[in-house]
Amino acid sequence: MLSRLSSISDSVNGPILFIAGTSVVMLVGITAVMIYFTIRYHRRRNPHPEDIHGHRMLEIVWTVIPTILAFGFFWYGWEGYKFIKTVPEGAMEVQVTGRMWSWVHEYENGVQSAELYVPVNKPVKLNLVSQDVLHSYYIPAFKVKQDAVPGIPDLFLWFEAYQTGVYQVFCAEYCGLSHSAMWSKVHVVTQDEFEEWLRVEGEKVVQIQQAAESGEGENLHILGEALSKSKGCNACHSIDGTRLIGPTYKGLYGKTETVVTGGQEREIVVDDAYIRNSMLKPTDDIVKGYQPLMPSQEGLVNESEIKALTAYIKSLQ
Amino acid sequence: MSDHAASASHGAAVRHGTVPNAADVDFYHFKGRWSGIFAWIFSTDHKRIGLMYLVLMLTFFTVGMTLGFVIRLELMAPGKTIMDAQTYNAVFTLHGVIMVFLFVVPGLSASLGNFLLPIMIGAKDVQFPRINLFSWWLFLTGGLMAVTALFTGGGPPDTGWTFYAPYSIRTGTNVTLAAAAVFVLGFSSILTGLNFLTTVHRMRAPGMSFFRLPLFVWALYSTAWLQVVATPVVGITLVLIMVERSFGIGVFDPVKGGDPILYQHLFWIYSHPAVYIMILPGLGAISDMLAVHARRTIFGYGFIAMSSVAIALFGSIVWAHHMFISGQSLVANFVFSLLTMIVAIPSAIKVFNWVATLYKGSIQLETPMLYTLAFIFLFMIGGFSGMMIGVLSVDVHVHDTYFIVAHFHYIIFGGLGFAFFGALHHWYPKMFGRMYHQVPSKIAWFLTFVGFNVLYMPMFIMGWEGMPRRYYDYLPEYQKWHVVSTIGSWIMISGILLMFWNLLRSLKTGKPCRELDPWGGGRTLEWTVPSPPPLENFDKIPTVTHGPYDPDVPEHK
Repeated sequence: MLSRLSSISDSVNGPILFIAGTSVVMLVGITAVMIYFTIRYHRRRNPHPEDIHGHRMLEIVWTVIPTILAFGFFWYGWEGYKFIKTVPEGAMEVQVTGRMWSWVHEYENGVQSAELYVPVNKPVKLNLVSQDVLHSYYIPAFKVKQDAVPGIPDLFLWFEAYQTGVYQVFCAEYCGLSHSAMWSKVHVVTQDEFEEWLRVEGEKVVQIQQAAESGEGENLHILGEALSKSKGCNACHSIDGTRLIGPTYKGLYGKTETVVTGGQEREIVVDDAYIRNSMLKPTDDIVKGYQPLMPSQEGLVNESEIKALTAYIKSLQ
Repeated sequence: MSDHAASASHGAAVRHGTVPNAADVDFYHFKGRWSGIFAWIFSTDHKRIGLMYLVLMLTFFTVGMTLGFVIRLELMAPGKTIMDAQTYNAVFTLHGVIMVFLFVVPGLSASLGNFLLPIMIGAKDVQFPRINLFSWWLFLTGGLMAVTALFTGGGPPDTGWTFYAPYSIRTGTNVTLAAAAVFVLGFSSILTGLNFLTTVHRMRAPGMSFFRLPLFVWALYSTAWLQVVATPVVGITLVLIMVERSFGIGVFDPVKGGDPILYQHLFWIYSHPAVYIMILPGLGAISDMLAVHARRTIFGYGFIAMSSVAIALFGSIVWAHHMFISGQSLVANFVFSLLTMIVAIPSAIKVFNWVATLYKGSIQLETPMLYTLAFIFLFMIGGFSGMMIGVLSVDVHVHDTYFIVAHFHYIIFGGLGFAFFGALHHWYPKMFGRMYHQVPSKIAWFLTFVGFNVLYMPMFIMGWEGMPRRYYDYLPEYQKWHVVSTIGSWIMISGILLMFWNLLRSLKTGKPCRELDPWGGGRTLEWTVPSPPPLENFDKIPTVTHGPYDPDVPEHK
């Protein structure tokens, strides 16, 4: 409960201990007095009440003491908060994008992943943006949280993890249907393991690019499958025909769909161009019966990745 | 009891120079222009309007409670238990909207406040009886619109009761009608506030100076100011949401150039004071119940009265403490956290004075007194946990978790809810001329109090361990606490149902209770009129010669 898994823990644990301790003492004390009075001055024992209108000294005492306590609580929390908001020099930066209902983490070398990998004992700064509605990046084990707000570019949180392990990430700001499924993980690993992971992932990016350029179909759809997972596509698009928030990938390619374009219904055949446009400008053609909820992936997928994803969708017949 | 009543009746005679005429018919039996149901829905009598509010609100409360029950059932186990995610999201939204806008905001103020305020200040009615009736009709209309929103359009709203943009603008569900319903309900609230303000200023009986007002009236008065000042803001905000949804004007959606943080500010500028609109009348009722059942004057009357005003005042300028992690500036966080701490002070002063009011009293543990003592205990837990989440660094961790859910249920339900139930029992004989059955009422209190703590206490623990709120599904490690909480909900709901059944049954079978003052300790004016009161409350407007909780023959002078 008062674990110390990150640099942020102390800023939260200290104030809560202080306030909770004071609160418990006061709660128990006041309740005890209340119960004592209720028994002692029960009508059986005390049939004749006494009208006491007040006591100036007491009023001053119980105004001043809570005031001092309240300011003390505030100051302690403010000091902790300043620490939470001050990123140390040389922190590793990761770009985090939230959208319904997945997180994408992007590293300085362009690697993207659905789950966060960070080295232990090194400050990490997460820059948070949202593509659609409000989200909130929350790592309970590290006691740190920050909203991601569409249109506000400079939101961040930072932490330094003290122990290797895998920790839960939640979305803490309600964001619709699959809010409770919008979670991820933080993998805290040693510096060496982290560098190795980053290198392997970096090679995958190159692989996709090469496969897309050479048009190797076989390889490409397997790479596309990995992309679909890491980019969180499957939160809304199933691969087994189940209807989720968006149309399923199964049997999608080559199918004739009724779409709504600018308020008009029309029929189209799902092909490469349609899939590409649906990623970059998803609200252009909305499949009939679905809501225009998908955020544009402009800047989040490159042309090679579009080709890989298209190959993947094509493979799901 | 009857000997006390006789002495009180004698006291009233001395005080007002008139003996209540036994031949006077009470307001139920007064023959007016209308009969049957029309005698109610077209009545401008504040007592009838208060009871009509009570009936509607308790109906909505029952609906809201059922939804809460369903939420707890779903959360018994991770994954799908009894409903899918979309239904769950709609259910918690409706639970919030109904409980907040249709039960706790009108709350004690519109129901018992309407019934008692004019009597407590020695008036025959409120200042604007017709507007009072109109408020009730607006309340009914808003309530029906909210219910209609469930069955029409794209399905029930799924935004949470906060309607946060931009989600509320994009969702296909019926947010527009629900927002319109809240808008109409807002007008009902504003008009009631306006009415009460004018009534307190203009219609007090001779000698009833401000510092002779009962503390329930002080609380209603402070609440009324908040209703008039803060409610228009939420009205405008919801109109902006409707306009944005219907015409695509970008006020809050960043894609169209809007600002989602602006929405949060506008929403909480109302909705935080609304928390005080909810709780203040409860705080006032608690003071009155304490004085009667401890049979003594209130300790620190002036301090309790002024703390209501201070809470209303400071409560209006703390709204952005809901937004510590929303991305607002550090300066804003500093200021709003500091101001939030200041609101704790008048609340603490109230608690200390209440406890001191028990000192050297002559305490009888009648059911209203049990609710009052439970209230003080639960309100303290709500208050202390409020200090925790008002502190910046702690809020970074617990914001939007079950810790918050636990906190506001302790304040709103443990606070206002328990005050409301206590007040229902306390003024029951005054309103209906019958006494409720004692034994079931005490069993119901016990079940509700125990069930409440079993239901909400585990939420503090879950929240601290990181369980986010508004989650349909959760990790298995949280399940043990969810199970305890759900069991608590069964205990609490059985207590509440027993209470409702007992109160309803007592309307017919309760012991007739025609004494002016069935408690034998009532010193405020409502205990000097018959139970139930006649149409115009007083045969002759009383002249007030002393403070509200002083005995008829002032001994201290």
